[in-house]
Amino acid sequence: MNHLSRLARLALLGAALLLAACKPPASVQGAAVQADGAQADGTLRYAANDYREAAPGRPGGTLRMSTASDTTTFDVHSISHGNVQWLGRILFDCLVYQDERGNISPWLAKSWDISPDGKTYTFHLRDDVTFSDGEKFNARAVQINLEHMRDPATKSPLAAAYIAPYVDGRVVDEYTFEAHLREPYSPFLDVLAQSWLSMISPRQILEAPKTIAQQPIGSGPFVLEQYTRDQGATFVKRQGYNWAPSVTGHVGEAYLDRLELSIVPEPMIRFSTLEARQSDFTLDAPAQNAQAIRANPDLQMRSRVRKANPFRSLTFNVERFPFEDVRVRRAVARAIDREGIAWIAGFGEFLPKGDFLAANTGYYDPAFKDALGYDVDAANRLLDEAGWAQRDPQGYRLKDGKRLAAQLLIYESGVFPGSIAVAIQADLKKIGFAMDIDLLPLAQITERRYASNFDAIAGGYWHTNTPDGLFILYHSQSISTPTFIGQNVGRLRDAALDQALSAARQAHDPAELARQYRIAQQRLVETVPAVPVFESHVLVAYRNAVKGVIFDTSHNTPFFTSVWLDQEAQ
Amino acid sequence: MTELTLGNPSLKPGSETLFVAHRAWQLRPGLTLAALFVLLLLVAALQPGWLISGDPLDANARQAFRAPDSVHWLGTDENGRDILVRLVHAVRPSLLLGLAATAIGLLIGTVFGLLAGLGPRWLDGAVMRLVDVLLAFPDLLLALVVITFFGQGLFNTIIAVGIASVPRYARLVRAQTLVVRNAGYVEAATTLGLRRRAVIARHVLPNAIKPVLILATIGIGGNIIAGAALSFLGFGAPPPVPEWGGMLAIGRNYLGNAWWLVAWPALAITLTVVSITAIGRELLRRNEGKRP
Repeated sequence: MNHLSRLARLALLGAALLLAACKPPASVQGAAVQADGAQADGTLRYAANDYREAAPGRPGGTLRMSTASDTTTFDVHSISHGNVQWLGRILFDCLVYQDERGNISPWLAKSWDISPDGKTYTFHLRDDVTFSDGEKFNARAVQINLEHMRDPATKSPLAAAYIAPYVDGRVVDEYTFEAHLREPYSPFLDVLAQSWLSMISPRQILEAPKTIAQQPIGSGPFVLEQYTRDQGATFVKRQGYNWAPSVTGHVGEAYLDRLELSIVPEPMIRFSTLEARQSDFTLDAPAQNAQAIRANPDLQMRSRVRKANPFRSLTFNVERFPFEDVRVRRAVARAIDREGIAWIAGFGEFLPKGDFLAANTGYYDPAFKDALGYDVDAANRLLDEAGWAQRDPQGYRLKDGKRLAAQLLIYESGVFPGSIAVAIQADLKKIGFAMDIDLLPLAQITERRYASNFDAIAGGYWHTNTPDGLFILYHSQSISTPTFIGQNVGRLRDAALDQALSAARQAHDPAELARQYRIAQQRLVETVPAVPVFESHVLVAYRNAVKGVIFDTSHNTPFFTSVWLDQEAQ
Repeated sequence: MTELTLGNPSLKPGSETLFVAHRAWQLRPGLTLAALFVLLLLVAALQPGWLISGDPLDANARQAFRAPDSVHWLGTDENGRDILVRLVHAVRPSLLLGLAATAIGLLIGTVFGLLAGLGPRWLDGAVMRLVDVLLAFPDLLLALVVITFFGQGLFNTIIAVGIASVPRYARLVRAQTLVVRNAGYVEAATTLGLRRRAVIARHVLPNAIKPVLILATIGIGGNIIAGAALSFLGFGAPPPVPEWGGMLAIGRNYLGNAWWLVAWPALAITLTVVSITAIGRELLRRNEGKRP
C-alpha cells in the first residue's frame, strides 16, 4: 500500500506544480483584436511599408522555421494547400506581382498588353532569368507551365480553375508570349501573381513531371536541398538570383544562407520551441499562445488577413434537405454565434465576419456586413415562417412529422478544430435544429466534398487575391464536372449572382467592377450558400533577431527573400 | 504444491472475512480510499445525476476556457462546457469499456486457453502459435488494427481492446489448466467415473480460472487506459461525446494557457486506474496467501 500513497503524494505534488507554473488564465473576449493594419469604414488597410524592404539586410545565417502541416508535394500546380502561399515564394517566381494596393506590377514579365476585346494578353518577359537546372526562362517556359497547370494528369484543384478561360498560347519570339482566352477574364493577371501559379522548370515538366513533387526545380531565391515527408525540408540560397519583384524593393540574392523548415503539428511545441529559442520563426503561430507571445519581449507576433473569401464555419448543400430552403440556411447563419466561435478558435486574435469578402479585398463593400448578424430570435422567426413550428419532446423542430436535422461532415485539423463544430451544434440546438457531427478521415471528406455528397460540410478558407474568389466558390460554372474540379461544392445556382460575377470578369472599369461586385455581395447574403464566421488570418511569430520581415502582397504571408538574421542580437 | 500456487478453492468462513475487513480499515486507508473511489465511479456510471446536475453537452462558446471558480469548480473546456460535469458523465463509457473489454478478452481467452490446455497436442500447438502471433503485436497496435477494420465508436473500441487482451488471458488459462488437469482431485474425479465434460466444468475450469479472474480485475484498469489512449489518438467516439482520452487530446493543445483542460481528466484516469489496480493487487495477495 506504500506505493499507492506515494503515488497519491506524487499526483498531489504534480497538481500543485501545475497550479504554480500556470500563468493567470486567458482573459475573456471583449478587448480589441490586435491584428496588423488599420480598420476604417468597415474596410481594412495595411501600410505600404509592410510590403517593402526598408533597408538592406545583412547576409548570412540559417533561419529555423516551423509550420503545422506538410503539403506532401512541391508541385504547387497540383494542390490547393495553404502553405504554398509562402512556400511558393521560397522556391519559385511568378509572372507578375501585385503591389500594395492590389494593382498588378512586373515580376518575371516586364510588361504586358491587353487587347481591346480583353481576350489576348501579350507578355514581354525578362531575358536574364534562369531556373536552377540551368534552363532559361522564356516564352516557351510560360506556355509549358500553363499547359501543366491544366493538364488533367496534374489533377489541379486550384491553378486549373484559375486559368480556366485560357485557350492556348503562342510563342511570339523568345521573350514574348501571347495568351489567348476564351472570353474576357479581368482577374487573369491577379491569379498569375499567386504562388500556386508559379513557374517550374520546363525541362522538368516535360522530362520528369513526377520528380516535381520531391525535387522541384524553380527560379526562386532558394533551392530545395533536402526534404523528408512530414518532417521537414532544407532550402539553400540560390547563387546569382537577381529578379525579386520590384515592389518588394529587394535587390539581388536572398540574405539568408539556409532555411530549415520543420513540420510540427502540435501547436504547443511550435510555441515552446520559439520561446526556448530552438526555432526562430513559426508560420502557424497558435492563437491560444498569441497573448503569451505578445507579452514576451523577445518575440514578435503578426496577424494579417488573407484577401477574398473569409473563413467559413460551414457550407450548405443547397440541393439537399433541409438546406434547399433558403430560409433554413438564413436561420442557421443567424443562429451561429460568430463572436463566440472567433473566441474559441482565435482567443481574441480573429475578427468575426458575417459577409462574403475579406475586409481588405478590392471592391469589398461593407454595406452587408450585418445582414446575417447573430440574432437567435430572427432565426427562430425564420424557421417558424418556413413551417417548422412544431417541436418534438427533445425540443427539436418538426414539420409533417419530420425532424429538422442534418449532418455536418468534419475532419479534425488545426484549421478547423472539432470545437467549432461542437459550438455550431450547440448554437443550432437552441433554435431546435439537430445537427449531427460526422468525423471522417480527410480522404473520405475530400471525395464526398467534390461529389457534393453531404448536407453541410465544415468550412475552411479559400483564399485568392481578387474578389473573383466569389466566382470560384459560388458561380454555377464552378460546380464540379467529370473533367473539372470545381469549388462550388454546395451547388449554388443563382442567376443574378452568376450574372454579376460573369459581368465582373468582363469588366476593367473600376466603377463597373465595384457595381457588379456589390450586386454579388448583396446576392450572397440573400442566398446564404455558406456561413462566414471570421476573417482568414495569417498568424506568424518570430524572434526579435529576425529582421526584414515583409509580407507577400497577394497572400499576406511572410516573404523570405528579404528576411535576415541580426546575429548580434542573438 | 498445486494447492498453494492455485489458491485455496474453499471459501473462508464469514467471521474471518469480517475480521480482515476490520483490520484493513485500521491499517490501510489507501485501500479504503481506493474502494470508496471505485464506489463513487460506480455511482457516476449508473446515475451521474445523483452526483452532479448539468448537461455535459451544454456548450456556450462565450464561456470557453474559464479557469476553475465557484461556478465551474474545475473550469470550462474549449466549448464552454463544465469540465466537472463532463468528467462525471465520461465515467460510464470508461468503466463500460474497461469491464466489457475485459469480459470479452477473458471469455475468448478462456475458451482458447481451455482448448489449448485440454485439447489434443496439435490443437494446443495451433492455438498457441496463433496467440504467439497476436502477442507479437503490442496491445494498442492490435486494437488500432481492429478499429481500422471495423470503424470508430465505443462499441468497436470495446471489441478492439477486448481482442487485444485475448492472448494474455489465453496463455494464463492454458498454463493454469495444465497445472490443474494433473491435480489429485481431477484424477480422483476421473477415477470416480465422471465424464470428461463434467470434470472440466466442475473441477478444471473453476480452479483454473480463479487466479485469472483476479488478474482480470487489474486488467480492467489497463483496459481503461487503452481505451483512453485510443480516444486520445482520435479513435474514440466522435465529438461531442465526453471521454477522458478525448478531453486530454483536445486539452493538450491549450496546455500553455488552460492547464485545467488536461489536468482533471488526467487525474481522473490516474486515480481510477490506481484504485482498481490497488484493489486487484490486494485480491491477488490474499489469494496467494500473503495476507491473512
